Order: sequence, then C-alpha cells, then structure tokens
Amino acid sequence: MNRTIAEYVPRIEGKLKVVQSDMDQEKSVFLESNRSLHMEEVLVGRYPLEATQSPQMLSAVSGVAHALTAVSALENYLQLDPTPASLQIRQMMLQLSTLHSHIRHFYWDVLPDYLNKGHFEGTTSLSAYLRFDFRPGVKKEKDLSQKAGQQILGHIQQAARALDELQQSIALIGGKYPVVMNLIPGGVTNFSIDRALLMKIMRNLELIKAFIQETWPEDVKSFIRDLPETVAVPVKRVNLISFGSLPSGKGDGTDVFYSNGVVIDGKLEPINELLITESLLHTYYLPVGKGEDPERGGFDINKAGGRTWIKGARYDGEPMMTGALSRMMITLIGGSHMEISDRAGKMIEDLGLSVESPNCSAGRLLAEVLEAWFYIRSILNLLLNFDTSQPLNRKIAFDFSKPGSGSGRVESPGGAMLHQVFINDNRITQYRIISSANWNFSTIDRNGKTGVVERELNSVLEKEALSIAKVNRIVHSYNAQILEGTH
Amino acid sequence: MKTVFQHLTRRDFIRYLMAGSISVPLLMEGLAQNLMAQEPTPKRPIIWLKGQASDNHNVGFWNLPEFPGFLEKFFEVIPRSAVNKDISELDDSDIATSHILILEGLFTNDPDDPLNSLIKDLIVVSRVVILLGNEAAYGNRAPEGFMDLEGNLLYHVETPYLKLPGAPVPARHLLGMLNHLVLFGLPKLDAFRRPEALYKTTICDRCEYRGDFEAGRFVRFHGEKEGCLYLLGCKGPVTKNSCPVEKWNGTSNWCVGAGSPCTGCSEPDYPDHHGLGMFGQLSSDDAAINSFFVRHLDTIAKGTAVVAAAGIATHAFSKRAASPLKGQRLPILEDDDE
Repeated sequence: MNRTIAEYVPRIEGKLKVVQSDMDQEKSVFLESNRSLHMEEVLVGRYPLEATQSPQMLSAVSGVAHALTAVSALENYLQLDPTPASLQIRQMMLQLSTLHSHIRHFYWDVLPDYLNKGHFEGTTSLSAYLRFDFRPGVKKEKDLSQKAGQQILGHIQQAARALDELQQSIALIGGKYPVVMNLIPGGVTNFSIDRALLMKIMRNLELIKAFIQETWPEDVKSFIRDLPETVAVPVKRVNLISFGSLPSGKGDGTDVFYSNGVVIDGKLEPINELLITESLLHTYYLPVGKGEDPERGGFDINKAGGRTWIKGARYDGEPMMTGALSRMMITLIGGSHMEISDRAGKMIEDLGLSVESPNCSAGRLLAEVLEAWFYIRSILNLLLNFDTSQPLNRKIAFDFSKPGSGSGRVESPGGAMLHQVFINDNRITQYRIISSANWNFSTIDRNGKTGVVERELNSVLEKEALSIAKVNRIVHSYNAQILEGTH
Repeated sequence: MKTVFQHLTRRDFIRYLMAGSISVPLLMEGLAQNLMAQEPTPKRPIIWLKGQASDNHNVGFWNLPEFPGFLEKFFEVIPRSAVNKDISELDDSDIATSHILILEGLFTNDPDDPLNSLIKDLIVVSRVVILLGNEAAYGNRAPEGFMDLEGNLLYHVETPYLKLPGAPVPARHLLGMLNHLVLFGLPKLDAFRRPEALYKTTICDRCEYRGDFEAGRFVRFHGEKEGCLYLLGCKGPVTKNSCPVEKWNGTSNWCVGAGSPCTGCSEPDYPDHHGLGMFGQLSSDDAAINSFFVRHLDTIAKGTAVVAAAGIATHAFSKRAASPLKGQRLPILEDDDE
C-alpha cells in the first residue's frame, strides 16, 4: 500500500512528491515527479543555436549553466574553440550564477524549514523577504533556537541585496537574468565590454563581498552549531562525480579550481563519457525502439511501474552524488588545487567527518560557502585583469549543415550537467540533457540502486517515521531543481 | 533616500502618475518608494500559484530592492500551503472575493492533481488573474498533459485577466501592474490581453540600432560586429515590449545590447514565429524593411507638398529677387496712390 508523505515540496523548481510504500512489513520511500516539458523533443527540428536558449527556461538556478553546456556541445560539433577572452567571460558568468544559487539555497530553500513564528517576533518586515510559498508556522521539532534563528534572519536583507547585485552583474554581461543571451559558438557575442562596464560590475561585487566572505559563512556556521544533527551522515558511502571547472582562458590555469573525475568505492578515476547512461525503470519513458510514437516521443503515461519523469543518470551503472561537495572532495582526493584541497580537508576535519564519508547537510552547505569564498575572489581577479582588446569570438559564420554530434559538460551550481546534440542539415535531430537532479533525485533502477536523496530518505525511514518537515529538510539540503531533471 | 515623488500629495501623485504614464522608466524609478510613503490602505490578498515552472519569472521580482516593503504594505501573499489546506475555509472570506490570483508556469490537466481543482475554484472568485510568463500566458503551446489556462478556463468565466509574457518576464512589469491594480484597477490591454503601457511599441522602433536598420547596415553573421541584427533573425520588428527603454530590471543592458538578436519572447508564437524559429530571418514584408517609405507615407506626402509649396514660393521669391525691379518701389502704383 502506498501513502503520500508530502504531496509537494515547497520552494523548489518543479514538483516532487514523496510516497511511502508499506509492503509486507517492509517500508520504503520513493520519489515521484512533475510531468516533463519534453525539452529534448521540443528542440528536435530546431536551428542548433536555439539549444543555447530554450533549456535555460528549465531553471532559474542553472539556466546559465544550461546555456554554457549547450554552447560547449555546439562547439564540440563545430570543432571550434572559444577565444581566451570569452572563456574568462563565461567563467565569470558561471561563477556569478553559482554564487547566486548557493546564497539562495541557504537563505531561501534551507533556512525556512527551521524557522517558526517565534523567529519573526518584532521583525514583521523580514518575513516579506521569504514570503513566496512560505509562512512561518508553529514551532517544530529541531527548529533553530530563537537566538540563532533571529541572528541569521537579521541578515536576510543583505542576502536579498546580494542576489540583486549578482543578478544585475550577470545581466550587465549576458543581457538579462536568469536567461543569458550572449553565448555563441567560438565565444560570446559582440558587445561593448569596456573598463567602465568592468568597474561597474566590480562595484556591484565589492558591495557584497563582505557578506559573501564573512556574514554568510558565519550564518552557516551558527546554523550548524545550533543543529548538530546536520552533521549526521545517513548514507555512509556515496560515489561522486564532477565535470570540473570550465577552462579558464588564462594560460597558467590559475582560475581552474576543480578537476574532473569520479570517485567510485573511494577510488578516483578520470571521466569516460561513454559510461554515462540513463535508467528508464520506473520512469514513463520507453526503451528506444519499443512502442515509440513518433508524434509524442518514446513515453507512455500509463506505463506499468511508471512514477517519475526523472531519468536516472548512472556512471558505469552506479548512481553518483553531484554538487559542490562532490566537486570539492574529488579535488581533495586528487590533490589538484592545493588551496581548495587544504580548505576542504580542514572543513571535513572540523565537522568531524572522514574523506570517505563526508555527505551530510552541514558538509553540503559548507562546501557551497567555501566555493563562494573562492569564486568571489576569482571573479574580482578576472575583472581586474580582463584585457578588453582581446577578441570576444572567432568571427566566423557557423556551418550546421553536416551530419554530426557534439557534447558539452559543465559543473552547474547543483552539479554535473551534460548536453548532447545531434545535428543534420541545419537542424537538431536529437538532443539529450542530464542535469544534477538526474543524478541526485533518481529513483531505483533495475539493479536495485537508487539516487542519493531517495537513499537518504530510506535510510532515515529505517530509524524514524518521515514527517513532511523532515522530508522538506532532506530534499532542500540538496540543491533541488526538479524541473530540469524532468526537462 | 527621498525621491521627488515623496514631496507630492497623494492626489498630485496620482495625477502625475497618470500624466506621466508615457514615461514608464521614470515612474518605475520612484514608484515603489512613493507608494511606501502613502497612507496605508487595506491589504489586497495575492494568491500566487506556481505550477510546473522554474523560478525564472519570479526570481528577479523577489529580489527587487523595493519589493519587500511594497508588498508588505499593500498586499498579503497567501502561500500555496495555506490555500491548499482547505479551500472551503476561504469561501466566505474577503480573500475569496478580492484576491489577485497570479498563475505562473504550466498546470496539468490531470483531475487528480490537487492544484488542478484548486485553480478552477479560485479563478471563478478572483478579482483579477495575472498570467505570468509565457507558459501561463500562451498555454495553447503547452506540451501534452498541461492546461491552456486561457482557452480551457479563463475564456469561460467572467473574471478579468491580463497577461505578462516574456522569457523571463521583466520583474518590473509585474511590480508596475500590481501598482496599477492598486491605484487604477485593470490597465488597458491589447489584443493579446497584454498591458498596452508595456507592450505597445515594437522593439525595433526604439532600438539603439534603428538607424542601421533604416540604412540597411546589418551584421551578417554572429560575432561579426556590433550593429543591427536583423539578418541574424532579430524579431525586434514584430515584437512589442519595452526592453529598449527599460533595459533589464534597471540595469543598462538588454538582449540586443548584449549582442543577441531579439528572440521575440513576449509574442504569442514564440519560439516558433510561424516556422522561422528564434533565429530565422523575418521577410522584408514582416520586418517592414521598407519602413521608412511605408510608415512615413503621410509625412512624405505632406513633406512633398510642403517642399513643393516652398519651391513655388522660393521660385516666386527668386523670380522677384531676380527681377530688375528688385529693391525698387513700383512707381506706377505709387503714382496711382498719389
């Protein structure tokens, strides 16, 4: 018998339903998703450049990353390298959008789950900042203490200001936000990037630098100190995947933070893209060649056992965890960036965790804070040293007439993102998207393996009943963008 | 910081606002601050339901610096969790009869989806419905399994509704419309039910590269140079929005400013554009490429008449000027007078 624990999880992109199955004394939890927008099918038949636009509507958090991944896939098809200057601009855009995502993740996704009416006493106007789909209720078990809650909430205006400045900065480069318009194969579009513009962005970022490097980290530390259970590791061993940093555009590679790779059973290996597959079991999709309706694509809404539109991404048949913590741990295990390795190692040590088993809410939140600390420094450095005389693109017309394919891999704020494009006669003939939700929020596959979130929910269920509050806290602790998973 | 608007009385401000409605950016600048300075009014309830959608349309809005104070003073946002609990509790309340309903994203047509029945109930009793973003506004393009909110629901009820399309919607469009609803009620709408104040003029008409367009100076391929992007499929000539004037959310940039052709994201046929797609070139007819002659035919005709009249006058004057009597009084007439 199935029963719904949470009809929907608030404050996430897309819909996630959490259902408990009680069969023969055995309890288990699984995830159901919203319907797909069929982005992969929508792109078929369209001019290839449209791939840099439409997928951005899948997520306000990862829109920039979708555009970057799509343009990388097109460059791979065209065998075209972007110019160094454009790589620096892309690096800035990705880092800015990642900062935006991480700040929002803590203050708007995670924090409200631990707040109640008491925290807002005497601070009525602050609630307006969190009002969307949120209204503080009565005190719940393991809410933040009054003192810690009010202290963190006292910084919500600064957090909102930071998001606004970041949005403005991205729009100054990309045209608007969260959809950016300036990415083309071979670089970025021609626009007036001069010292005045760079200084304007620098001023925006200088205004929020102290918040990013001091206030927010202190808030996360207070949060963790107040809630020791966030350091608990419900799932002891997880495999990790990271596609690594974008190329920096600088010859010395000083702004490349992360190495790419996978950690399977504790061992670091280089990525082999051919080993990335998708599980269709319990999805509404049909295996290729079985009953495909050319009008609708290969799915059946009445498929037996179907419950989700999130295809389960697997690496060599294994579910992987992805996100800031994965990026950091893979770099730490590989030892490729000394400063990140040292900082990440210290973070794990301070939390009392081990490198083999680092996955907890506190670890994921602190990894985002640490990443932001590096990113704001990197962006300011890029702005300061940007050479405005360098070409922004290759200045050649694109030839999409020949049959071929390309793939792009980018670390979105939420984790490993892959786009694959197949092109013929100036049209997309096939498109494939894998986003962080396909890794983290996938359901059980035919080998009995499941994504890290479902695994954590089941692990908790073994010890205690799952309440809506508990489910929300677990789901929000992973950067949950379900809509881009169902795409 | 005080704005110029804060020195006005409420009555003067409203008069100013009405008179100044042609200058949207100026109004946007201090509007929220001014409203904040006004006497408190009963709060209007907003029910904001997000279907299956990303946060693209609301992420800018919720981080506008002036937004939280404005919202707190004039509106009461009812979160979905509160509405969802028991819709029947709302039936007799003020909320049920006076709320502004904002619908964002796509909503399934699955009758078992609780949101599906909730929307149907709420639409009937809403004061006004705002369809936010292309997915909600142009639901006739929705994928299988989703509702066309206008065609399936709103078309069949008397509740007034308006659309704020875009990909994404500029946050200040929504702020402006909420302001308008507070002060004046429903704005004047165009044929697609978009507010005329925001969606009346084509992008091309106010574009910084309009001169290049008129002169036929175009960028020929992506990355070639800055300039008019008509040949790259710019939909500015057929897209109505205020982007070139307002830019993006108070920044100094926008799509064309960033070197990208306008993709026509606020038009009903986006992104297909009748088979052209985002980057397909409009025909010269659609783009009114001969616009100088077509649009200004009257002016040209009047201009021609003026030029002709001026020519005749000049001719007469020059004849007179060239006359041997130049500068001389006509003695015969003088003689007659005498």
